[in-house]
Amino acid sequence: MRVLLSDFLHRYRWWFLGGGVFCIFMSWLRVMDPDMPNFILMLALIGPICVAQDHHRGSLKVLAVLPLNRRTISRSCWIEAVVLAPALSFVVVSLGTLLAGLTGEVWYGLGTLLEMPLIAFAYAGSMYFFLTMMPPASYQNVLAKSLSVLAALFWGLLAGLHIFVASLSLDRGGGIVLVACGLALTVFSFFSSFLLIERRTALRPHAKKKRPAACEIRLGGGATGKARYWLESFSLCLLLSLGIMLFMTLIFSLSLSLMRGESPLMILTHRSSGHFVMVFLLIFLLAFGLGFQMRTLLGMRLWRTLPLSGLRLTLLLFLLPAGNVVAFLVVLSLFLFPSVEWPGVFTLAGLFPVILALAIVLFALLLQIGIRNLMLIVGVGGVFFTFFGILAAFRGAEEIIVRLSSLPVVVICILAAIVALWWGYRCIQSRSELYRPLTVAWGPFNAQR
Amino acid sequence: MSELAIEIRGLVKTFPSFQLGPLDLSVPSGAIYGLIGPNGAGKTTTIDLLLGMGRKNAGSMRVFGLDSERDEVAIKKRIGYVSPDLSFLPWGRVRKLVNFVRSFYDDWDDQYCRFLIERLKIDWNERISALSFGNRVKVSLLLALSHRPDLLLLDEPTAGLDAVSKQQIFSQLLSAVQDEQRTVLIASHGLADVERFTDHLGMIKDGRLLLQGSTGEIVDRFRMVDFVAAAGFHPNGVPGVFVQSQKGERWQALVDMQADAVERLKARGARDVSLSPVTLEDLFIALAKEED
Repeated sequence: MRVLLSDFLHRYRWWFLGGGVFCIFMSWLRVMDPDMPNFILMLALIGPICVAQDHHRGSLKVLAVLPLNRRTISRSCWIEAVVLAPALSFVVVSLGTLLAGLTGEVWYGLGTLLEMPLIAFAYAGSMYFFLTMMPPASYQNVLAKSLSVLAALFWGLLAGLHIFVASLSLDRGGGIVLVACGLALTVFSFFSSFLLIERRTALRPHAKKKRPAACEIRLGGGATGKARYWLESFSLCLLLSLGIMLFMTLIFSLSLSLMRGESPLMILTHRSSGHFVMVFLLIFLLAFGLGFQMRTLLGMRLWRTLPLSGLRLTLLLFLLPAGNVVAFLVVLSLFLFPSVEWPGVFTLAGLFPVILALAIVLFALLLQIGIRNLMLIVGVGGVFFTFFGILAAFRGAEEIIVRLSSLPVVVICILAAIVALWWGYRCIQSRSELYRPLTVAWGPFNAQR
Repeated sequence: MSELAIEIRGLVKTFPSFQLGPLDLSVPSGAIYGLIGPNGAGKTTTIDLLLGMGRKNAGSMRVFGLDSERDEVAIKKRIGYVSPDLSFLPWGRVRKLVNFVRSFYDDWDDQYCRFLIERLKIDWNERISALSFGNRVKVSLLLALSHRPDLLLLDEPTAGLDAVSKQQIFSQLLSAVQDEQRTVLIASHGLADVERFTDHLGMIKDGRLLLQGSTGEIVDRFRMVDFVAAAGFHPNGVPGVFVQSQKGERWQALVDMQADAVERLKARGARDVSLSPVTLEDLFIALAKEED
């Protein structure tokens, strides 16, 4: 097990190091402005994300053929995901507190110093638990698939709300309940880790041979081809946005009401902070903007064999981020409409060029770096996320919206989008890597090769 | 119509660890052309470049006389592409995929598509993710054939398939070709299949074309020769001789009959020369081995 752990640490040393430096920097900013969001749990996120990345790259299949029993593999995975990052966050917080103490500043109090690793542990454990609940294969039954989707939702929820989780305190009853739940999930994750290894290393069960049903082969009808594909993507995105926004809003308001003792309805209609929506905005932009385009990239080889010129293909592919952004904004505006303190849907519409440009730039980036490098994509997403988080913390969300809707910003965004489109066109024309098949099975896109 | 279905001249594509070409390749119209070569030889890269998946560094590629870059769309309308590497997962189900692809082709033949669905036993409503490897290749074949293309590009179409599926796919291919005089380019390292079905052949290795011509002519052109030679004999540098093995005084080599290689060997002191015909597989292995 020691070899497995040291190998893992060696491979992801830059992520842990970068995460540590980032957390120290953000915490230092927080000393100057206590209203800043707490990013310390960003470090705890790294463990489960690195383990997920490892699984995505098919490391478990390699480990399974080594002379190791599955229990050892599952335990090492659990330690990598759940223990290492919280331990590192403890070291970071302790070091920072010590350094701050030497200069006479107060960084974290003793209580926080003791609480934080516990919360980080519960947080990383919960993240890992949901990871273990995601069955890899698409041939699972409906129940397993539903469970997988639910686990993915919780995974996204936890990852997205790490700033919120980091501000939990064990002083409050609600905080204790949430941390206790997290610790319980962490304990479960220790056992479910074994299940994960079993599932991921098991051979694909033979699907039942069934005779092709004598069905009517209905060709054509309605929107077909490009239009059909785009519409399907758009409507699915809209539906998912709506469902997940409802789900996350419910969870968020319930969690806050637990902590503050206010009714969930009160929290929903009188938000005192705009961070929540800003964070939502970016999480969903990344999740749906990039998520759907990643799905598209899986079929790039077929796209390229169709009778479409490179330019038309580029424009068609870049319609997807646009569609997703529209869908997303429609859903978001529905949620913001009843909010008293927000300037309303019309102000939000001013954000459209910025979000669209961001989606286009991200898609161009995805074309450039390819779907294989998931960590880089997550990293880029993290940078955007952090950037807007910091802006929101310093300036307030309302002001940011007004600034982002200003003419110079809009012009810059349009220029950036044009450059990104041109870059995307170049990638589609010249990058052979874009059309190579994925050899590693990954989550819902499990390529059964 | 141009006499050559595919005409590649001086094609070069450079990767950090591999260079394809300079490559000259000519596929006559109506031919079933086998592009064979070991793994990593450049077969898939050549086909990919024909379809615009990546940009060539130099050279020209013409399909039915049309430039592969300038007339990309016109060319693709006449091409059907089959590969196990095509991922259809984003389309969810077979019916969605077929309906999606058909809208890009003006000459899509619904009746033929239905016929193929039944003939290849493809489940119309099946989820793509639940399809077996063989069935995915069949779906790929269905999409490629249903618009009755003039040129079929098959990239390792039977790799990883069982004998029954292979037979099904080849019989479907053959009937499609026989019906309408299509040109077919099969890139494969399944030599038995290529030898059985192709009438023209190109052998590629390390990005370079070693041989090209009609299959029969190429196989007839070479012989395996066993001979005895005294110590100190060295056939290196003799044109058309590819040494395969040496045990003491006994040598085995592949010889190109067009280069009068046997006479040259004899002139250098080879004796007890016996010639035997080669199969495509012998030829492939011998040439690959000689180069190594």
